[in-house]
Amino acid sequence: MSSSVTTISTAPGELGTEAAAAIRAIARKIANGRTSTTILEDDLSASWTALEAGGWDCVGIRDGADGASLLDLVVIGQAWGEYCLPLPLIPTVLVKRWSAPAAEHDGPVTFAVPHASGQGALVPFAAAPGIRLCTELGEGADSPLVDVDATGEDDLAATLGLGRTAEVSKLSAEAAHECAVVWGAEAVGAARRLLDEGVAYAKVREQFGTPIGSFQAVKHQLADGHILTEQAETAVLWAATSPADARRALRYAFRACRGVAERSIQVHGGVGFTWEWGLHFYLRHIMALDEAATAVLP
Amino acid sequence: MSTATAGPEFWSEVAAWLAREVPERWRTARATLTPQEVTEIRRDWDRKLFAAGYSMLTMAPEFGGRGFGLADEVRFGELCARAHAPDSLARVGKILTAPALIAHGTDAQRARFLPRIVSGEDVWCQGFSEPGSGSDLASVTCEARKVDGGYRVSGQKVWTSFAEDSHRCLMLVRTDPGARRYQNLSLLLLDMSQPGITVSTLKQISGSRHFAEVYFDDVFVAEEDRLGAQGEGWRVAMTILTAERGGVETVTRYVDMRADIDKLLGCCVAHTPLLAQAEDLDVETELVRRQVAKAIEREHDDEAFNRATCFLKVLWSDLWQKITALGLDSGCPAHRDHWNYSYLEVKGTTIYSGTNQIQRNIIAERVLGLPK
Repeated sequence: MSSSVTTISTAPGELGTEAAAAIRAIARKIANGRTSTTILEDDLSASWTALEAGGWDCVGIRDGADGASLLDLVVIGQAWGEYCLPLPLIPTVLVKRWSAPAAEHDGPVTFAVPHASGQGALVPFAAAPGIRLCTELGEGADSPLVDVDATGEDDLAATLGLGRTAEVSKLSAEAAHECAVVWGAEAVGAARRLLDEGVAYAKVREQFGTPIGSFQAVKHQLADGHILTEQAETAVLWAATSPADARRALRYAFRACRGVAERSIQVHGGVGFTWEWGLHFYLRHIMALDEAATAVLP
Repeated sequence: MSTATAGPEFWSEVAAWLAREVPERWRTARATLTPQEVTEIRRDWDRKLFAAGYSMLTMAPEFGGRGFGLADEVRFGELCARAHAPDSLARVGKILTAPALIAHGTDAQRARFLPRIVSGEDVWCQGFSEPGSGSDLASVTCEARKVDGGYRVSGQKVWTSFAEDSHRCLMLVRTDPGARRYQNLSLLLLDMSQPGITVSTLKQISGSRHFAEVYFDDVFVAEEDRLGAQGEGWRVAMTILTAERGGVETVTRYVDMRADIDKLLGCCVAHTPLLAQAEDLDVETELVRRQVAKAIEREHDDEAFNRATCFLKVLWSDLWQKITALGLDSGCPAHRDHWNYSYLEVKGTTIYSGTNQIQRNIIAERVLGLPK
């Protein structure tokens, strides 16, 4: 018999709650109401400096019993995912958590994830200023950081700045589990943002002389978006607390996040599938994270 | 707000009690019982719940409850479902009438009705829906005409579970024909033992009978048996309907759905494409349980709690229909009768307690803030 419903605990600690609130506030300030299209044209080096100044790049580093839990990283990942900023915060947090040389390094770090094609690897934020590559993540991992030796770019998700490399970084099972879960959390944040965008648009876009959000056909799309967002979050929390179920739980979560994106695009009508409006940046972010999570999980 | 929490010794006591008290023939031979036997076992279960002190776990002690929190109530519901315990015959009184009396009743009404609800002596039914008022509940036309000392009620109610066995009916009626919509209704606590009441059961597409229709012909209700002020019926009814938010019910359903999904995985094991679908539904079933767990953790953050609970009914009912439909698709000869019955039986779940379409409207309007 499995445990009772009431004995399942998935709440973050104080550290996670506070860090998520702070990171959300910084991300909101950096985005400043702009779409990803505009943000991607911007020089964000001052923004990265602000994140480092707050110590948020080091939020995952554990010091004995202290430090963020995986459930803390889940709320942090969700907060960050709501903005999908093209800054290497999440890889840096994960790498500094699982590599001693990275933890001691000042500046952004990343790692190489197997490419979905089975050939070579993808490196998030491969071209970020000053970024270093970690080749080994895990308990006691001490391989020195190296330069990113990118052989090309991958255009699936501009917000992740994916570069192609030949070599894949080595991940312990535990590190891989955590990376996949945090990416799932990031996808949930992106899905929540897409839902919010859909709701906001449905309130202001008028047809037949009334906001389209007053039509039941539109309401039901967005209600389903809400259900999928909540369930995706629940699935990520399941994956976080039960590594043996992580693969199937995250598979559900990414599909659900994609389902939210589909509904938001539909509710946006014509503008929803234009490049310029920018919903696709969030959907592509979700798709790329799904690929990465699937690639690292056993 | 809860003041007590059930400790580990409480839960081992409950587990032992369930192992001892759940009737063997209910657990193993429910399908062979006559409707009368089913009613008697359920009535007796209410007596046992009361005798053991498990009748009203979350109600405040001054009203005869234990004062426990939501998590404890959900856990108790889960244990009962896993033990295949009978469901309470007096559940409408416990779930709807009792909280309504506490929130809106007079001291005299509480003193008169609450003890008999807690003990399970009084069975209540809910007289809300009518043939012409389903999703549009505020349009009820069952009329309560003002007379000396009270009202005379005439009209029809439908989907009235337990009507045959009920002592009282919590009724939404029209008291002020001239008043505006939402201000023309009142809630009455009607005595079902009077003449002028005709109950007939409704047979569902599965063949089972869980509901009834009830006809009222000039039935008297005393002024003192009105809950809340005249014309306040809609407001009071809405607070009742949104009070519980489905955590206990969802966990109870989860236990039944878990049994179904385990059966389904077996039925599909030799059929690879169906097995993949069954495994997806297995994941979704686990997520029902974990959604409730997440909601409980957010109990004290109203907004987060509401976001997490507002779709529980949509979630389990849609999913259960998918499970039973895949059961049919599996064509499993060993479980043919089960899937045929369940597929038909759970068709009602997306309709009763507010259709899933109305539920989605509510999510869109009250949670997402979309315009009416």
